[in-house]
Amino acid sequence: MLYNINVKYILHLYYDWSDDLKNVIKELRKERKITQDEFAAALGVTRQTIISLENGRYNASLVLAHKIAKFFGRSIEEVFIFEGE
Amino acid sequence: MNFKSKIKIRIAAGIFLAAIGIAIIAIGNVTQSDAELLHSFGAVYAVMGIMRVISYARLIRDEGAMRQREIAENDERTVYITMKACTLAFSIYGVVASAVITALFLIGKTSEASVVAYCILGFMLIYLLCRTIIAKKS
Repeated sequence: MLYNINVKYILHLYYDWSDDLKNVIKELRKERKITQDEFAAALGVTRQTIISLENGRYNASLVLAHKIAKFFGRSIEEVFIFEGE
Repeated sequence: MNFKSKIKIRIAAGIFLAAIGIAIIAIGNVTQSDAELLHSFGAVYAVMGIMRVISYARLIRDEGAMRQREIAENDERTVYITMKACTLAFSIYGVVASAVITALFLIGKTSEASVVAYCILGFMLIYLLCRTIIAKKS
């Protein structure tokens, strides 16, 4: 348990993971009935990036967030939900 | 510069690397001294260069594969992972090298410790130089 906490703490020093930022990419993609491969090709990123975004393991850059929001015809705030203060 | 031009430059770099390898092998044949070492180094360079040329030449003929490669190389998560991995590796290297220096000093191998210390110092200076250049451009 202590080991897990320390590993997570150390990794947080190097990674900008934020538990406060959620997204609805998976839901919107399924609504559109498109695969991760198709979505990745449309955005010009790898499928692995889409998987990480959907799982909340990676936060998109502002440019990619713009592209995703534009793709779904939504605003960034509708796709990416900040639950922090 | 588009990706195709970048690939062409990489092919040219591969040819250059292979040429250096062949030149090293030739020097090994002429000088006779350290011929085995020069042949080994030359062979490694030549093989690396030829492999680069073959892989990039194959890529340039296949538009689909080239597009896939472009996406993979420019993918922001890949770039992010590479940068973070470098940062983490640099930090770990600093800690491990410091421990090695301390251990070498304790066992009386001061000259070896100095070499490791100069390596860290050189690394730090290059880091500071790169940081200054990037900070000015950002």
